[in-house]
Order: sequence, then C-alpha cells, then structure tokens
Amino acid sequence: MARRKLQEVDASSIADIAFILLAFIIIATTLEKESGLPAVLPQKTDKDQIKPPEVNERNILEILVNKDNRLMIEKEWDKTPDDINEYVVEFMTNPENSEALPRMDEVNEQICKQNIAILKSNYEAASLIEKGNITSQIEKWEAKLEAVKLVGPYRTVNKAATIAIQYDKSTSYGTYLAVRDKIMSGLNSLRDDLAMEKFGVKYGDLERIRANKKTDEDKAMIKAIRQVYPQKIIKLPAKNVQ
Amino acid sequence: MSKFRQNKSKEMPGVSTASLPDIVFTVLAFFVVVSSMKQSDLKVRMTKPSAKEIIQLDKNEAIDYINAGIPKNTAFGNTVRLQLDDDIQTNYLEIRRFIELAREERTPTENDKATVSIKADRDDVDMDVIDKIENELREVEALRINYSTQKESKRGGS
Repeated sequence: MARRKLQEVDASSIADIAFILLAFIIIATTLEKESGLPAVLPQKTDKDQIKPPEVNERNILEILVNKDNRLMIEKEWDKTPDDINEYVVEFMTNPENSEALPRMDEVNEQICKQNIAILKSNYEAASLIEKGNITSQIEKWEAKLEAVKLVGPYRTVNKAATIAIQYDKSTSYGTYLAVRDKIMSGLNSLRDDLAMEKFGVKYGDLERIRANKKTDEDKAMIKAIRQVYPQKIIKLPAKNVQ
Repeated sequence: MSKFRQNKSKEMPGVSTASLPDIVFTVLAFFVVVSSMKQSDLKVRMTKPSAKEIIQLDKNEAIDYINAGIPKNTAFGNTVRLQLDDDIQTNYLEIRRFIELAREERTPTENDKATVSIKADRDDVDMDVIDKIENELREVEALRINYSTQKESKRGGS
C-alpha cells in the first residue's frame, strides 16, 4: 500500500509576515531616548513662612542673567557662559581658603563618629519635635561617614554654600539652561577628577550606567562623590534686572 | 576518476530561504527591545535647547511630558502655549489635573519614581513660563523634573 507522503506546510510566507511586523514596529516606535538636565524642585512653602535665613555673601555664588541674556557673575558684567566653569570650580574647592569664598569643612572618620555620638546622647532628653530633627542629622552624618570610608578624609563646602541663578522674567529658556549646563559641567569636572583618583573610573561613566544595572557598589560610589561635591543650585525668584 | 566528481545532477541547488523568517524575527525582536513608542505629535514649534551634561532618563520609569512653545497652528494664537498630551492649553492650572490623571493610572511606587519632563522651545519660551509651570508642579508635589534637551556635540577632549 502506497503511503501518502506527509505534506509540509509552506513556510515561505512567514518571512513576509515577519517583514510586515518589522515595518510596523519601525514606523510606530522611536529610537530616540529622553534625555536632559535633571533637577529637583524645592518643596512647596507657605507664603507666610517667609523670611529666608540670612546668608553670608561668601556662601553664595551669584549668577545673574538679564532680560537681554547678558550674564553677570559675582557682580561682574559681560561674562560668557564658558567662564562659569572656572567660578564653580573655585567656589566648590576654595583652594586658598580665601575669605571671599565659602568656608570649607574638613570631614574625617573621627569628626563623623564624634558628632553621631553627641547627637545620640542628646536624643533621649530631646522633645518629640527635636527628635525628628536629630534623627535626620544623624542620618546626614552617617552618610558622610560612608563617604569617608570610600574616599578617605575630604574637604567640602559648608552646607550653606549655594549657587544661585537669578534671572529676569523675560530671560530666554535656552540661556537659562545653558547656564545650568555650565554649572553642572564645572561640578562634574570636579566629580570626574575625584572619582578617577579614588576609583579609577569617571563619575560620568558611573552615572551613565542604566538604573537597573547599577550595583550597590556603584550606587555607594556615586553617593560618596556627591557628598564631597554636592549639587546645590537654586533658582531665585525672578525679578526685574536691567 | 576524480573522487570529487559530482555524480548527481549538475543543476545549481536554490538557496534555501527556510532561515529567512528566523533572521527577520531576530531583527524584529531587536527593534522591539531597543525602541519605545512614539510620544504624541508635537503641536507646538520646538527647538530644544542643547546641553552637554545630560543624563538619559530610564524609559522603564514613568515620564510625563509638558511641552511649551508657540502653536504650529496659528488658530491657537501666536504666544506661548502648553501642550499636555494632545491638547493645547492656555491655563496653567490644567497641569495639576494632567499630573493627577497620570498618577491615577500608575501604582504608588511608580509614582514615587515618576519624572516630569519639561520640553520647551529655547528661544520662544521665557523664564516666566517655566516659573509658572514649576509652581504648578510644586503644588501637586511633582518635584522630580527634567529639562529636556538635545545632545550637544562634545568639543575637544573629555
């Protein structure tokens, strides 16, 4: 008895189907990834809570952009965005302990442990409101201690030091972002150098590792570097600047 | 005599296309993985500012987009308008509703990591507009933001 040969399904059209799917996906999606300058907005404050704390002139690096997009840094007019880098580096490191630049804090293991011990001993006696305050301070010192363990004793700007961007209402968005970008570039150059020295890797490369691929070690390194060179940029409320 | 003489037919065999679907499916899979769905079409004129120190957002984390610029369609006027999803808005209060609607569609953990990306035209938009947007965002506690930029080609070395 002649057995009938099993007939094969013709698979040649699967390629066509797959091509159509491919074409659809290519058209409907985009390869472009969303990128930009990240920022964190300050918490909402009550209007009547006003009175910003008095700040020492030396703790502020004032960058001002007027309505014609002219730039003033530390009261000097007609600077270019490229000058910002230099000012930021000087401001964040204060290499000669100058009186005009922010006071630098020395951070090492001993200081961290001392402060944590003092805070902990105060904790018991403190009132309920103060307790929350003390806990957050202990956390801050513990973060510094972690940083010291990774990068060794370091010098950092005191916590009041801030880079302030002042602008006019009609300053263009592009100029503002250019200024922000240059500040970050000054900061990142410092961070890169430190990371290169301590870990043999650039800070930017650490940061570029995709969020879900970062190991705990990567995260700890990023945190430590940020302790040494914190990003403290504020936007002052717009006012009319000539 | 020769060992290698073909003793079967002399016709050239056709190239087998059996593996073609596999190849195409592999390419397909690649595109599915690396690409993301297109955002809604821009209805405002947009030249993004350029910057060097940019960070790529993780596409697995939620991103809400706020666009600001002069509408392409002059029927909407020729001053700066907001575009939320597909709608052109004039009222900044709409931002609150937009963020809250977006939040309802996500879990609280996703919301904690959500970022608002501000896409604004670099020349047409002034800081007054940005301030207003940020104030609304602070009202609804959407504090993680991103100033959307295009990449500036790096000059020189590092």
